[in-house]
Amino acid sequence: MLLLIYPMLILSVFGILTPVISRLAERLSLKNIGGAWAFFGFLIALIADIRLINPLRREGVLLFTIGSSAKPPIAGFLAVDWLGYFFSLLFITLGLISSLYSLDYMSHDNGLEAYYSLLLLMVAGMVGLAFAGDFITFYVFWEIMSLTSYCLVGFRKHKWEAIEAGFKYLVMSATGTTIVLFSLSLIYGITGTLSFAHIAASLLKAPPSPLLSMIFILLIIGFCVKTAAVPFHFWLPDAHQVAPSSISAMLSGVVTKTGIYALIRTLYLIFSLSTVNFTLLFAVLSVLTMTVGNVLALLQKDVKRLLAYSTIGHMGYILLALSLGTVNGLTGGILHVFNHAIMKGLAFLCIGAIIYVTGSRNIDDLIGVGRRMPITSITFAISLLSLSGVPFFNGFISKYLIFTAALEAKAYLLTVIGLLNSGLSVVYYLRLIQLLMLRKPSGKIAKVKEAPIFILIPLIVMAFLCILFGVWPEPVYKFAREAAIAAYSKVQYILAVTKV
Amino acid sequence: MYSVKLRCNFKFRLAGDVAMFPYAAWLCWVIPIVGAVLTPIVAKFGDKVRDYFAVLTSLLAAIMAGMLIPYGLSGSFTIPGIGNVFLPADWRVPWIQIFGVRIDAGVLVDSLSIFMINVVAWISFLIMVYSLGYMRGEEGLTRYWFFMNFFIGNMLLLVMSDNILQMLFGWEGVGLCSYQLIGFWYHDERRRWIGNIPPSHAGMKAFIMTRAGDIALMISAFIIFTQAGTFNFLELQNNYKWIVELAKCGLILPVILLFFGGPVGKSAQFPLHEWLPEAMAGPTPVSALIHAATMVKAGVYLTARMFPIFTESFKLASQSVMNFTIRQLILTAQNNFFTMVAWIGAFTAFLAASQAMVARQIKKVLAYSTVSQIGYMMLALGVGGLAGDYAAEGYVASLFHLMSHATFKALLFMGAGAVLHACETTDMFEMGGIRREMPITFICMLVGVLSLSGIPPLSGFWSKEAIFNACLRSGNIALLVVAAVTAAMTFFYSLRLIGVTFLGSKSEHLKKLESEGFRIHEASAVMWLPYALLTVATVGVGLIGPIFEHGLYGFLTSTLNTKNIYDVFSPSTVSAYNVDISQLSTALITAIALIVGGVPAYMMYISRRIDPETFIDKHGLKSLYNFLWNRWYINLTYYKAFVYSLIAFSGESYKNFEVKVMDGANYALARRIASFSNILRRIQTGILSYNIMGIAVGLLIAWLLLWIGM
Repeated sequence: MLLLIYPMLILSVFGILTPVISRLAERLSLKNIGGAWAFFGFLIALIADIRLINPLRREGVLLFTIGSSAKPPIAGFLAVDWLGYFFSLLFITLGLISSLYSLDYMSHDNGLEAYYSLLLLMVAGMVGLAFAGDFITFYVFWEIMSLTSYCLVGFRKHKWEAIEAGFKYLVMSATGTTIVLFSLSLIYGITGTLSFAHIAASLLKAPPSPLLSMIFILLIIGFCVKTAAVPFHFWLPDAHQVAPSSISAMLSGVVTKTGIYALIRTLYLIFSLSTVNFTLLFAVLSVLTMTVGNVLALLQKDVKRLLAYSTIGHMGYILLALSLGTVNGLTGGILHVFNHAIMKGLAFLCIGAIIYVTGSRNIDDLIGVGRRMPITSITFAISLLSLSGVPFFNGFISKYLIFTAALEAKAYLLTVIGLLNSGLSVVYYLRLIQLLMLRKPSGKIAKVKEAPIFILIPLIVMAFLCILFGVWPEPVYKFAREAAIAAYSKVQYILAVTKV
Repeated sequence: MYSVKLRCNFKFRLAGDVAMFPYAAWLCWVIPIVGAVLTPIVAKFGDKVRDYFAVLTSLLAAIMAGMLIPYGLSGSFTIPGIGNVFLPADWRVPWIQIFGVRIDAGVLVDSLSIFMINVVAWISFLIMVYSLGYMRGEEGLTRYWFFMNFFIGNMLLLVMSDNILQMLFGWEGVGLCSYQLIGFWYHDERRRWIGNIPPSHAGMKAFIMTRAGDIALMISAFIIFTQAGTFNFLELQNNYKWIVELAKCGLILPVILLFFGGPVGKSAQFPLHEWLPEAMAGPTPVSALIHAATMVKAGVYLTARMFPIFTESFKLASQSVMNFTIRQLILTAQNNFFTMVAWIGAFTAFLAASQAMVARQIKKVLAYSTVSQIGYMMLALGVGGLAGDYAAEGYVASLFHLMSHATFKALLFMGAGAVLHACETTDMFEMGGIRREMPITFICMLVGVLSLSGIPPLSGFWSKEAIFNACLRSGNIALLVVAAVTAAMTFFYSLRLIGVTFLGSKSEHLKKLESEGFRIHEASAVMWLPYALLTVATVGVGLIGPIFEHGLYGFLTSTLNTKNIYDVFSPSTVSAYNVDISQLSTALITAIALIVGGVPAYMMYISRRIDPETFIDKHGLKSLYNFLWNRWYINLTYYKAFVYSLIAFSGESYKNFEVKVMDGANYALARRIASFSNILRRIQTGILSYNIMGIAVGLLIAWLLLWIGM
């Protein structure tokens, strides 16, 4: 299936050509050409990605091999099922929205050609890792994504905090990746292959053993660093705080989700509950993650840092869903990945709009700003209500699914803790709404104006999606269910690949 | 046999001639809702454009409703993509399919919905036209047109829905519009008051009171859903397993009684009837549309919609079980239910009629009368259910009365509105002697009240007669007596209304107005034309009463799966039906009732030989008068029990519980969590080497957990 490489190819080509185009445009003294070019690239990549839907519906798993036809393939092998496809669509969509948003938002920054180039390449990396059919391909794309995201976090290099956050992110993420690499070497040692399907096939009936547990733990830890599960989350608040808001939206919305994707693959494809009983581990991990995230978010003064901690909290819910080991749990988790990407992306974009206009991230400086920026504040309120799980917003649907799945799996304590956390989180969301939107503005804030149009369009679109998928969750629910079934029933995947 | 053939020919011809438009079943309620949403936008083009746009929208809805009539007459309906199906046709589209539940949205096209939708849509249109004149120059008209059209759309949605859930959307929608429109004059000027509460308060009262019934209805609907797995009316009717299942849990009676709570609230039946008199604080077209002709009939409509389920399906369910106890439980539940419906109806009819006899405000008389007449409809449904094989008679009588009442009560309200405008007062004792100044209104309202009291040959006569007949059929003489007494009272207050408003000499108030140069004049044509049309309809239906009733009988009973449906068309039954001895006896009862009610009213208010006030004093009726005037003290009791005590309770609980306990606990909790958060913050050191150490520690913990989990 040559179709498979088009999304990545398009993103990479556009990414590589961005600096050239930008320079040319600069010669001709045209503004924003780089942004438009990137937006265009995302759009084409999205179309190319959507074109995969019919073949996928026909065949269930799509395969592509580069070069050698050696069996089993060691590298350069793509295998897309509904799970990977679901994530890839999400990645490109958020990239598209983010690039549109950046048109106005980043217009005061220098080095934009690098910015758009990095953004495109980051998404290319993410799509690639979602499409990868073996660990080497996965690893390469994972690193492409990671490297570009380090640069994007530290994009405003004249600020010390950006450099520090980027460096911290780099060191921690690289540590995680190294651990993964070590685990991969062990896997290769015992199975002789790095293709997902072949590893899964050879581990299918394997009894639990210390070596397998070690491989499992190392893989999990490596991915958990990206997912920002506590205690591997230390990079996240800094990085989200200082990155440009469009990048924060990407980091929180999709980059952390690559970790989730990798975890789902590891837990449900490579391993399974019979090989490694991960229920307790993930239950504890999820409780730690959501509790630390939500409690620390309570007292934050910096809005972006608050949202960053809230991201950690939401990662906790998703990990809870993964810990259940049921299709319903997985469906809830995957749907929450989608919903969280939209609503948290929206939240970061909204706060970006506010920062763009006021130049401050501090809650105390922003009191009453919502009254001066009606569209931004309404969309921000929608995202916050959605995040806190109010019915008729999309966040409610997936939280509801996760908690009902937890009840089904008889994880009562976990459900109670999750609900308590969800209740706790409402406090800081409502506090934001109250401070930013209900109070009277004063001083400098009283004079601000609404953000420019290219910032508002993405906000409105995403707020609309939040409500749409809250009142009509069916299509995306079906999609998530399809993805969950694809992830859960690994035999189909294994058969589809090993037959090649 | 002859009549069957005749009907077939008729059917064939109509089906061929009239252009069929199946989408009308959807469009009839979508158009007004969309029109309502567009109103604020259209308002930008000018006030005139907005007004005519709103009226046009309701006209379109009415035309759509009219387009369904040929389907009803031909007995089949075309669902695009499926083809021709016989009525009842259930056209469904997927709506909610999640969490393992599938609920379809849809329209149910059968003779009941076609009948009801035409009554609602056409009367709505006439009232919208009337509004053009009545509401001219008022403030906030965009809001008015929005809610009027939104109301019409929701009402039609309610009627066309094929399942309870979708119907509840319309049900709540009309409730919302009712609330908004009662409180339309939310500035609460003193002249807008009806009774002793301001309009905004009246709106809230209506909303809260009907909500009590709605909640009962919802609880019941959801309990039914847990057993039946569907909200669909036809499925509930055909798969009667749920009745058996509910009977096994012993829930069957509570569930259907709760179900009736919805109709009781919406249709202002005892004990939830107290909201309607105050609802008159809204503009008169609103009273005519929502609180006389359509929304308050929703309860009757829903009961009629569920009627085949409560009669036939219950019977079949009871026959399908072997267990004697459960069978008995089902039959008892059915019997108790209909007995309750009949008695609530009869009692409400009596209660409200007695209050109407002493009311002073013209709209309030009409409001009590509405409550009373809806009581009649409920009574008819109740006795229908008790009559066994003759269930259809009560059913048709109820719906016939619904239609004729909608016609003449809308006309009475509109006429009353014209009088209010002309006399600048709401109290009818401040009017009087305006017959010459307002001849058209006088004639129309006269026809209206005569129809209301059941004078032949107006439509009200035939429908009331049918109700008496149904009472007799069920063999329940006590109910018949109550109905007859109510009929006497109805004639009394009807004549009183006409006599006090139009006849006699002018009141002090009017004389004062005239001395100030104010001239009492007939309403404008845009106002009188709608109610004149309704007058013509009342007379027209009255003149062909028996034929119309017979046609309606044939038309409506097709929704009932009773044996009678097929019998109806054979000539023998028709003739037996026509010259039944019961018909004569009910006519006699009507005549007696009219004399008993009519003579005193004539003496007091038309010939004025007896002065009512001295009459009351002389015969020691003062306490009865006060009792009726104070609405049997029911309203006061409600306020004492629910409103004043609740306010007192909440005041106390605020002082003692909220401030001391809740706030205290809140602050304590907040401080605790904040300090916990501050402690937890220390893990976020920001020092990279510690962070990497975190990874290592996490690795160890993970291993440990995995080891424990194994």
